[in-house]
Amino acid sequence: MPEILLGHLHHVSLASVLQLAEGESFSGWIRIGEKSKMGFSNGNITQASIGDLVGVAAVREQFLIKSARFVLDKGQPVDGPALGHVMSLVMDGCRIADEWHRLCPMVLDVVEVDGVALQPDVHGVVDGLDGSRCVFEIAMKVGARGSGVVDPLLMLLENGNLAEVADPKHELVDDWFFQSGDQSVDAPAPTPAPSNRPIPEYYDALDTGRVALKIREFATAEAAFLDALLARPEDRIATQNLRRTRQLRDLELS
Amino acid sequence: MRMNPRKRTLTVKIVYYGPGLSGKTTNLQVLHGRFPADNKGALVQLDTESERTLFFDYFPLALGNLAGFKVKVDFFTVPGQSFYHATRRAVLDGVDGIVFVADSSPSREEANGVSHGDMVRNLDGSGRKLEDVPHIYQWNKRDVRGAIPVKVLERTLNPEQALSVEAVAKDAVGVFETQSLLIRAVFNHVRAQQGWVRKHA
Repeated sequence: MPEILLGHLHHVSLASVLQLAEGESFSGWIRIGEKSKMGFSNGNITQASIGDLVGVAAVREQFLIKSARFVLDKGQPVDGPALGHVMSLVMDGCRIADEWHRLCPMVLDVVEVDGVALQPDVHGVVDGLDGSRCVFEIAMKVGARGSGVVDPLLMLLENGNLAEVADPKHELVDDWFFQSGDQSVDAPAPTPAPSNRPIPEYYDALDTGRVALKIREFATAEAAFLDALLARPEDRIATQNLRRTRQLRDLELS
Repeated sequence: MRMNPRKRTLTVKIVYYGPGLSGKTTNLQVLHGRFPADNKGALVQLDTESERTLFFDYFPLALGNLAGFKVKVDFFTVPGQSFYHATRRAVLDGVDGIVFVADSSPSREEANGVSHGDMVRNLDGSGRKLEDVPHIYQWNKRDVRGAIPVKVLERTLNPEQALSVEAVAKDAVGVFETQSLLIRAVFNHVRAQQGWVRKHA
Protein backbone atom coordinates (compact mmCIF):
# COMPACT_ATOMS: atom_id res chain seq x y z
CA MET A 1 0.00 0.00 0.00
CA PRO A 2 1.34 3.45 -0.82
CA GLU A 3 2.00 5.85 2.05
CA ILE A 4 0.12 9.11 1.76
CA LEU A 5 0.46 12.36 3.69
CA LEU A 6 -2.11 15.13 3.27
CA GLY A 7 -1.78 18.78 4.17
CA HIS A 8 -2.59 22.34 3.25
CA LEU A 9 -0.18 25.07 2.17
CA HIS A 10 -2.05 27.34 4.54
CA HIS A 11 -0.47 25.41 7.42
CA VAL A 12 2.76 24.07 5.91
CA SER A 13 4.69 26.02 3.32
CA LEU A 14 5.87 24.41 0.10
CA ALA A 15 9.42 25.19 1.21
CA SER A 16 8.90 23.07 4.32
CA VAL A 17 7.34 20.24 2.34
CA LEU A 18 10.23 20.13 -0.10
CA GLN A 19 12.84 20.30 2.66
CA LEU A 20 11.06 17.40 4.36
CA ALA A 21 10.97 15.43 1.10
CA GLU A 22 14.67 15.98 0.57
CA GLY A 23 15.56 15.10 4.15
CA GLU A 24 13.54 11.89 4.03
CA SER A 25 14.92 10.91 0.59
CA PHE A 26 11.31 10.83 -0.58
CA SER A 27 10.32 9.02 -3.77
CA GLY A 28 6.92 9.39 -5.40
CA TRP A 29 4.72 12.36 -6.14
CA ILE A 30 3.66 15.56 -4.42
CA ARG A 31 0.39 16.84 -5.85
CA ILE A 32 -0.62 20.43 -5.13
CA GLY A 33 -4.20 21.37 -5.84
CA GLU A 34 -5.70 20.12 -9.07
CA LYS A 35 -3.14 21.00 -11.69
CA SER A 36 0.25 20.91 -10.06
CA LYS A 37 2.61 18.07 -9.19
CA MET A 38 6.25 17.19 -8.58
CA GLY A 39 7.93 13.84 -9.04
CA PHE A 40 10.71 12.75 -6.67
CA SER A 41 13.48 10.23 -6.78
CA ASN A 42 15.34 9.71 -3.48
CA GLY A 43 14.76 13.29 -2.36
CA ASN A 44 15.54 14.90 -5.72
CA ILE A 45 12.89 16.65 -7.79
CA THR A 46 12.94 14.94 -11.17
CA GLN A 47 9.69 16.18 -12.69
CA ALA A 48 7.40 19.14 -12.15
CA SER A 49 4.37 20.49 -13.92
CA ILE A 50 1.64 23.05 -13.40
CA GLY A 51 -0.84 23.30 -16.23
CA ASP A 52 1.20 23.29 -19.39
CA LEU A 53 4.34 24.50 -17.63
CA VAL A 54 7.02 21.89 -16.87
CA GLY A 55 10.46 21.63 -15.27
CA VAL A 56 12.15 24.33 -13.20
CA ALA A 57 9.69 26.95 -14.48
CA ALA A 58 6.87 24.88 -12.99
CA VAL A 59 8.64 24.61 -9.63
CA ARG A 60 8.99 28.40 -9.56
CA GLU A 61 5.31 28.90 -10.39
CA GLN A 62 4.29 26.46 -7.68
CA PHE A 63 5.84 28.72 -5.06
CA LEU A 64 3.25 31.37 -5.95
CA ILE A 65 0.40 29.10 -4.91
CA LYS A 66 -0.81 30.62 -1.67
CA SER A 67 -3.53 28.23 -0.74
CA ALA A 68 -4.06 24.65 -1.85
CA ARG A 69 -4.14 21.15 -0.51
CA PHE A 70 -1.14 18.94 -1.10
CA VAL A 71 -0.67 15.19 -1.08
CA LEU A 72 2.60 13.34 -0.64
CA ASP A 73 2.10 10.04 -2.37
CA LYS A 74 5.05 7.79 -1.60
CA GLY A 75 5.94 5.34 -4.33
CA GLN A 76 8.52 4.35 -6.87
CA PRO A 77 11.26 6.84 -7.78
CA VAL A 78 10.08 9.07 -10.62
CA ASP A 79 12.34 8.81 -13.66
CA GLY A 80 14.38 11.73 -14.86
CA PRO A 81 17.46 13.75 -13.98
CA ALA A 82 17.31 16.01 -10.92
CA LEU A 83 15.98 19.44 -11.89
CA GLY A 84 18.58 20.98 -9.61
CA HIS A 85 19.83 21.07 -6.05
CA VAL A 86 16.66 20.92 -3.93
CA MET A 87 17.67 23.70 -1.55
CA SER A 88 18.58 25.91 -4.51
CA LEU A 89 15.17 25.28 -6.05
CA VAL A 90 13.51 26.02 -2.71
CA MET A 91 15.42 29.24 -2.20
CA ASP A 92 14.83 30.33 -5.77
CA GLY A 93 11.12 29.62 -5.39
CA CYS A 94 10.99 31.61 -2.16
CA ARG A 95 12.83 34.46 -3.83
CA ILE A 96 10.35 34.50 -6.72
CA ALA A 97 7.47 34.53 -4.23
CA ASP A 98 9.02 37.41 -2.27
CA GLU A 99 9.81 39.41 -5.40
CA TRP A 100 6.31 38.85 -6.79
CA HIS A 101 4.81 39.96 -3.49
CA ARG A 102 6.92 43.11 -3.68
CA LEU A 103 6.08 43.75 -7.33
CA CYS A 104 2.32 43.07 -7.25
CA PRO A 105 1.15 46.35 -5.71
CA MET A 106 3.58 48.51 -7.69
CA VAL A 107 2.12 50.94 -10.20
CA LEU A 108 4.58 51.22 -13.09
CA ASP A 109 4.89 53.28 -16.19
CA VAL A 110 6.90 52.71 -19.35
CA VAL A 111 9.93 54.95 -19.85
CA GLU A 112 11.44 53.33 -22.92
CA VAL A 113 11.18 49.75 -24.13
CA ASP A 114 11.73 50.22 -27.87
CA GLY A 115 14.29 47.71 -29.05
CA VAL A 116 14.08 45.64 -25.85
CA ALA A 117 13.26 41.99 -26.61
CA LEU A 118 10.36 40.89 -24.45
CA GLN A 119 8.77 37.47 -24.08
CA PRO A 120 5.02 37.33 -24.78
CA ASP A 121 3.95 37.30 -21.10
CA VAL A 122 6.19 40.23 -20.25
CA HIS A 123 5.13 42.05 -23.40
CA GLY A 124 1.49 41.68 -22.36
CA VAL A 125 2.14 43.19 -18.94
CA VAL A 126 4.31 46.00 -20.27
CA ASP A 127 1.66 46.82 -22.87
CA GLY A 128 -0.90 47.10 -20.10
CA LEU A 129 1.13 49.49 -17.95
CA ASP A 130 -0.70 52.79 -17.82
CA GLY A 131 0.56 54.46 -14.68
CA SER A 132 -2.65 53.74 -12.82
CA ARG A 133 -3.22 50.01 -12.57
CA CYS A 134 -0.85 47.91 -10.51
CA VAL A 135 1.24 45.03 -11.80
CA PHE A 136 -0.95 42.36 -10.23
CA GLU A 137 -4.09 43.71 -11.84
CA ILE A 138 -2.49 43.84 -15.27
CA ALA A 139 -0.88 40.42 -14.98
CA MET A 140 -4.23 38.90 -14.05
CA LYS A 141 -5.95 40.65 -16.95
CA VAL A 142 -3.47 39.40 -19.54
CA GLY A 143 -3.09 35.97 -17.95
CA ALA A 144 0.64 36.30 -17.36
CA ARG A 145 2.34 33.87 -15.01
CA GLY A 146 3.93 35.65 -12.06
CA SER A 147 7.04 33.51 -12.03
CA GLY A 148 7.63 34.29 -15.70
CA VAL A 149 7.43 38.04 -15.43
CA VAL A 150 9.08 38.78 -12.07
CA ASP A 151 12.71 38.81 -13.15
CA PRO A 152 12.17 40.51 -16.54
CA LEU A 153 10.11 43.28 -14.92
CA LEU A 154 12.68 43.80 -12.17
CA MET A 155 15.40 43.93 -14.81
CA LEU A 156 13.44 46.50 -16.81
CA LEU A 157 13.02 48.54 -13.63
CA GLU A 158 16.70 48.30 -12.82
CA ASN A 159 17.68 49.33 -16.33
CA GLY A 160 15.34 52.32 -16.28
CA ASN A 161 13.02 50.98 -18.99
CA LEU A 162 10.19 51.10 -16.48
CA ALA A 163 9.66 53.44 -13.56
CA GLU A 164 7.53 53.23 -10.46
CA VAL A 165 4.80 55.88 -10.37
CA ALA A 166 5.41 57.88 -7.24
CA ASP A 167 1.86 59.15 -6.85
CA PRO A 168 -0.42 56.82 -8.79
CA LYS A 169 -3.85 58.09 -9.82
CA HIS A 170 -5.30 54.78 -8.73
CA GLU A 171 -3.60 54.41 -5.38
CA LEU A 172 -6.28 52.56 -3.43
CA VAL A 173 -6.59 49.56 -5.68
CA ASP A 174 -9.66 48.27 -3.85
CA ASP A 175 -11.44 51.14 -5.62
CA TRP A 176 -11.21 49.19 -8.85
CA PHE A 177 -13.44 46.60 -7.29
CA PHE A 178 -15.97 49.04 -6.00
CA GLN A 179 -16.09 51.26 -9.08
CA SER A 180 -17.66 48.56 -11.20
CA GLY A 181 -20.54 48.08 -8.77
CA ASP A 182 -22.22 44.76 -8.29
CA GLN A 183 -20.73 43.35 -11.44
CA SER A 184 -17.37 43.64 -9.78
CA VAL A 185 -18.22 40.66 -7.63
CA ASP A 186 -17.98 38.48 -10.69
CA ALA A 187 -14.97 40.23 -12.15
CA PRO A 188 -12.23 37.80 -13.16
CA ALA A 189 -9.48 39.54 -11.28
CA PRO A 190 -9.40 40.45 -7.60
CA THR A 191 -8.05 43.72 -6.39
CA PRO A 192 -4.44 43.69 -5.31
CA ALA A 193 -3.17 45.04 -2.05
CA PRO A 194 -1.98 48.60 -1.71
CA SER A 195 1.74 49.07 -1.17
CA ASN A 196 3.19 47.83 2.12
CA ARG A 197 0.16 45.70 2.81
CA PRO A 198 0.87 41.96 3.00
CA ILE A 199 -1.24 39.60 0.91
CA PRO A 200 -3.60 38.04 3.45
CA GLU A 201 -4.12 34.36 4.13
CA TYR A 202 -7.28 33.05 2.52
CA TYR A 203 -8.78 31.20 5.47
CA ASP A 204 -7.98 33.96 7.95
CA ALA A 205 -9.70 36.46 5.71
CA LEU A 206 -12.70 34.20 5.16
CA ASP A 207 -13.09 33.58 8.89
CA THR A 208 -12.78 37.28 9.67
CA GLY A 209 -15.38 38.07 7.04
CA ARG A 210 -17.85 35.50 8.31
CA VAL A 211 -17.54 36.66 11.92
CA ALA A 212 -17.95 40.28 10.87
CA LEU A 213 -20.97 39.42 8.75
CA LYS A 214 -22.66 37.67 11.67
CA ILE A 215 -22.42 40.79 13.79
CA ARG A 216 -23.40 43.02 10.84
CA GLU A 217 -20.00 44.72 10.54
CA PHE A 218 -20.41 45.06 6.80
CA ALA A 219 -17.38 47.20 6.09
CA THR A 220 -15.08 44.77 7.90
CA ALA A 221 -16.72 41.78 6.24
CA GLU A 222 -16.45 43.33 2.81
CA ALA A 223 -12.78 44.13 3.29
CA ALA A 224 -12.10 40.61 4.57
CA PHE A 225 -13.80 38.90 1.61
CA LEU A 226 -11.89 41.15 -0.75
CA ASP A 227 -8.75 40.00 1.03
CA ALA A 228 -9.82 36.40 0.55
CA LEU A 229 -10.26 37.07 -3.16
CA LEU A 230 -6.86 38.63 -3.23
CA ALA A 231 -5.34 35.49 -1.76
CA ARG A 232 -7.38 33.20 -3.97
CA PRO A 233 -8.55 34.88 -7.17
CA GLU A 234 -12.00 33.96 -8.49
CA ASP A 235 -12.76 31.90 -5.40
CA ARG A 236 -16.45 30.97 -5.42
CA ILE A 237 -16.98 31.01 -1.64
CA ALA A 238 -15.37 34.40 -1.15
CA THR A 239 -17.27 35.78 -4.13
CA GLN A 240 -20.61 34.53 -2.82
CA ASN A 241 -19.90 35.88 0.66
CA LEU A 242 -18.93 39.23 -0.77
CA ARG A 243 -22.13 39.40 -2.80
CA ARG A 244 -24.18 38.42 0.24
CA THR A 245 -22.44 41.05 2.38
CA ARG A 246 -23.25 43.77 -0.11
CA GLN A 247 -26.85 42.65 -0.47
CA LEU A 248 -27.36 42.69 3.31
CA ARG A 249 -25.66 46.04 3.64
CA ASP A 250 -27.84 47.54 0.89
CA LEU A 251 -30.96 46.06 2.50
CA GLU A 252 -30.11 47.61 5.84
CA LEU A 253 -29.33 50.94 4.25
CA SER A 254 -32.63 50.96 2.38
CA MET B 1 17.60 18.20 13.83
CA ARG B 2 16.56 15.52 11.38
CA MET B 3 17.27 11.94 12.29
CA ASN B 4 16.98 9.05 9.90
CA PRO B 5 17.21 5.87 12.03
CA ARG B 6 17.25 3.60 8.97
CA LYS B 7 20.23 5.38 7.42
CA ARG B 8 21.70 6.23 10.84
CA THR B 9 22.10 9.89 9.93
CA LEU B 10 21.64 13.10 11.88
CA THR B 11 21.32 16.37 10.01
CA VAL B 12 21.79 19.66 11.82
CA LYS B 13 20.73 22.98 10.34
CA ILE B 14 22.80 26.05 11.16
CA VAL B 15 21.66 29.46 9.89
CA TYR B 16 23.71 32.63 9.65
CA TYR B 17 21.28 35.52 10.15
CA GLY B 18 21.89 39.23 10.06
CA PRO B 19 21.47 42.42 8.07
CA GLY B 20 22.62 42.75 4.47
CA LEU B 21 26.39 42.99 3.99
CA SER B 22 27.15 42.08 7.61
CA GLY B 23 29.45 39.24 6.54
CA LYS B 24 27.28 36.11 6.54
CA THR B 25 28.48 34.97 3.14
CA THR B 26 32.08 35.72 4.06
CA ASN B 27 31.72 33.45 7.09
CA LEU B 28 30.49 30.59 4.93
CA GLN B 29 33.14 31.16 2.29
CA VAL B 30 35.88 31.06 4.91
CA LEU B 31 34.46 27.92 6.50
CA HIS B 32 34.01 26.22 3.15
CA GLY B 33 37.53 27.09 2.12
CA ARG B 34 39.09 25.58 5.21
CA PHE B 35 37.26 22.27 5.58
CA PRO B 36 38.77 19.19 3.91
CA ALA B 37 37.33 18.46 0.47
CA ASP B 38 36.27 14.95 1.47
CA ASN B 39 34.00 16.26 4.23
CA LYS B 40 32.14 19.02 2.43
CA GLY B 41 29.69 19.43 -0.41
CA ALA B 42 29.76 22.22 -2.95
CA LEU B 43 29.12 25.77 -1.80
CA VAL B 44 25.80 26.56 -3.48
CA GLN B 45 25.29 30.24 -4.11
CA LEU B 46 22.38 32.01 -5.80
CA ASP B 47 22.43 35.50 -7.22
CA THR B 48 19.31 37.58 -7.58
CA GLU B 49 18.80 38.04 -11.29
CA SER B 50 17.80 41.64 -11.01
CA GLU B 51 20.18 43.15 -8.51
CA ARG B 52 23.16 40.84 -8.94
CA THR B 53 23.65 40.66 -5.21
CA LEU B 54 24.29 37.37 -3.50
CA PHE B 55 20.99 36.02 -2.32
CA PHE B 56 21.66 32.74 -0.60
CA ASP B 57 24.55 30.41 0.31
CA TYR B 58 24.53 26.85 1.46
CA PHE B 59 26.91 23.98 1.99
CA PRO B 60 26.75 20.62 3.74
CA LEU B 61 29.54 19.31 5.95
CA ALA B 62 30.12 15.79 7.26
CA LEU B 63 31.20 16.15 10.88
CA GLY B 64 31.86 12.55 11.79
CA ASN B 65 30.02 10.11 14.03
CA LEU B 66 27.97 10.65 17.15
CA ALA B 67 26.54 7.69 19.05
CA GLY B 68 26.59 5.59 15.90
CA PHE B 69 25.00 8.24 13.71
CA LYS B 70 26.70 9.99 10.82
CA VAL B 71 26.38 13.68 11.55
CA LYS B 72 25.89 16.18 8.74
CA VAL B 73 25.70 19.93 9.26
CA ASP B 74 23.92 22.11 6.71
CA PHE B 75 25.11 25.73 6.78
CA PHE B 76 22.79 28.41 5.40
CA THR B 77 22.72 32.17 5.12
CA VAL B 78 19.58 34.26 4.80
CA PRO B 79 19.18 37.10 2.29
CA GLY B 80 19.55 40.40 4.10
CA GLN B 81 17.24 42.57 1.99
CA SER B 82 14.12 43.40 3.94
CA PHE B 83 11.56 42.22 1.38
CA TYR B 84 12.72 38.59 1.35
CA HIS B 85 10.35 37.63 4.16
CA ALA B 86 9.21 34.22 2.89
CA THR B 87 12.76 33.21 2.11
CA ARG B 88 14.03 33.98 5.59
CA ARG B 89 11.13 32.10 7.12
CA ALA B 90 11.88 29.10 4.90
CA VAL B 91 15.55 29.10 5.85
CA LEU B 92 14.70 29.32 9.55
CA ASP B 93 12.27 26.41 9.27
CA GLY B 94 13.60 23.60 11.45
CA VAL B 95 16.76 25.50 12.41
CA ASP B 96 18.93 23.92 15.10
CA GLY B 97 21.34 26.77 15.70
CA ILE B 98 21.67 30.41 14.72
CA VAL B 99 24.65 32.69 14.32
CA PHE B 100 23.52 36.30 14.35
CA VAL B 101 26.17 38.22 12.43
CA ALA B 102 26.03 41.85 13.51
CA ASP B 103 27.82 44.60 11.60
CA SER B 104 29.98 46.72 13.91
CA SER B 105 29.95 49.69 11.53
CA PRO B 106 28.39 52.69 13.29
CA SER B 107 26.01 53.31 10.39
CA ARG B 108 24.58 49.79 10.68
CA GLU B 109 23.33 49.98 14.24
CA GLU B 110 19.72 50.35 13.19
CA ALA B 111 20.00 47.62 10.52
CA ASN B 112 21.30 45.22 13.17
CA GLY B 113 18.29 45.93 15.36
CA VAL B 114 15.81 45.57 12.51
CA SER B 115 17.29 42.26 11.41
CA HIS B 116 17.36 40.96 14.98
CA GLY B 117 13.69 41.87 15.44
CA ASP B 118 12.87 40.17 12.15
CA MET B 119 14.63 37.01 13.30
CA VAL B 120 12.72 36.93 16.58
CA ARG B 121 9.41 37.48 14.77
CA ASN B 122 10.14 34.76 12.22
CA LEU B 123 10.96 32.28 14.95
CA ASP B 124 7.85 33.32 16.80
CA GLY B 125 5.82 32.75 13.64
CA SER B 126 6.87 29.12 13.66
CA GLY B 127 6.09 28.75 17.35
CA ARG B 128 9.65 29.02 18.64
CA LYS B 129 11.41 31.40 20.97
CA LEU B 130 14.95 32.63 20.48
CA GLU B 131 15.89 31.52 23.99
CA ASP B 132 14.90 27.95 23.08
CA VAL B 133 17.16 27.83 20.02
CA PRO B 134 20.93 27.59 20.56
CA HIS B 135 22.39 30.80 19.20
CA ILE B 136 25.51 32.86 19.27
CA TYR B 137 26.30 36.45 18.34
CA GLN B 138 29.18 37.35 16.12
CA TRP B 139 30.26 40.99 16.37
CA ASN B 140 31.78 41.22 12.91
CA LYS B 141 33.88 43.95 11.29
CA ARG B 142 35.63 44.84 14.52
CA ASP B 143 38.34 46.45 12.39
CA VAL B 144 36.15 49.27 11.05
CA ARG B 145 36.85 52.79 12.18
CA GLY B 146 34.60 53.87 15.03
CA ALA B 147 33.23 50.36 15.50
CA ILE B 148 30.21 50.21 17.77
CA PRO B 149 31.54 49.26 21.24
CA VAL B 150 30.97 45.63 22.12
CA LYS B 151 29.25 46.75 25.31
CA VAL B 152 26.64 48.58 23.23
CA LEU B 153 26.12 45.60 20.92
CA GLU B 154 25.75 43.29 23.90
CA ARG B 155 23.28 45.61 25.58
CA THR B 156 21.10 46.22 22.54
CA LEU B 157 21.16 42.85 20.78
CA ASN B 158 22.14 40.32 23.42
CA PRO B 159 20.27 41.09 26.63
CA GLU B 160 19.90 37.33 27.16
CA GLN B 161 23.70 37.15 27.44
CA ALA B 162 24.15 34.36 24.92
CA LEU B 163 27.68 33.52 23.80
CA SER B 164 29.31 36.10 21.56
CA VAL B 165 32.49 36.31 19.50
CA GLU B 166 34.32 39.30 18.09
CA ALA B 167 35.30 38.75 14.47
CA VAL B 168 36.81 40.10 11.31
CA ALA B 169 35.37 37.50 8.97
CA LYS B 170 37.20 38.73 5.87
CA ASP B 171 40.46 37.88 7.65
CA ALA B 172 39.01 34.63 9.02
CA VAL B 173 39.25 36.02 12.56
CA GLY B 174 36.58 34.56 14.84
CA VAL B 175 34.91 32.54 12.09
CA PHE B 176 35.89 29.06 13.28
CA GLU B 177 35.45 29.97 16.91
CA THR B 178 31.88 31.07 16.19
CA GLN B 179 31.07 27.92 14.29
CA SER B 180 32.59 25.49 16.77
CA LEU B 181 30.99 27.19 19.80
CA LEU B 182 27.60 27.03 18.14
CA ILE B 183 27.87 23.39 17.10
CA ARG B 184 28.90 22.48 20.63
CA ALA B 185 25.93 24.43 21.97
CA VAL B 186 23.58 22.68 19.53
CA PHE B 187 24.68 19.21 20.60
CA ASN B 188 24.59 20.14 24.28
CA HIS B 189 21.08 21.40 23.71
CA VAL B 190 20.03 18.15 22.07
CA ARG B 191 21.54 16.08 24.86
CA ALA B 192 20.05 18.24 27.58
CA GLN B 193 16.61 18.80 26.12
CA GLN B 194 15.84 15.56 24.40
CA GLY B 195 18.47 12.93 24.93
CA TRP B 196 17.13 10.99 22.02
CA VAL B 197 20.45 10.56 20.28
CA ARG B 198 21.58 8.27 23.07
CA LYS B 199 18.19 6.63 23.22
CA HIS B 200 18.27 5.76 19.51
CA ALA B 201 21.90 4.72 19.45
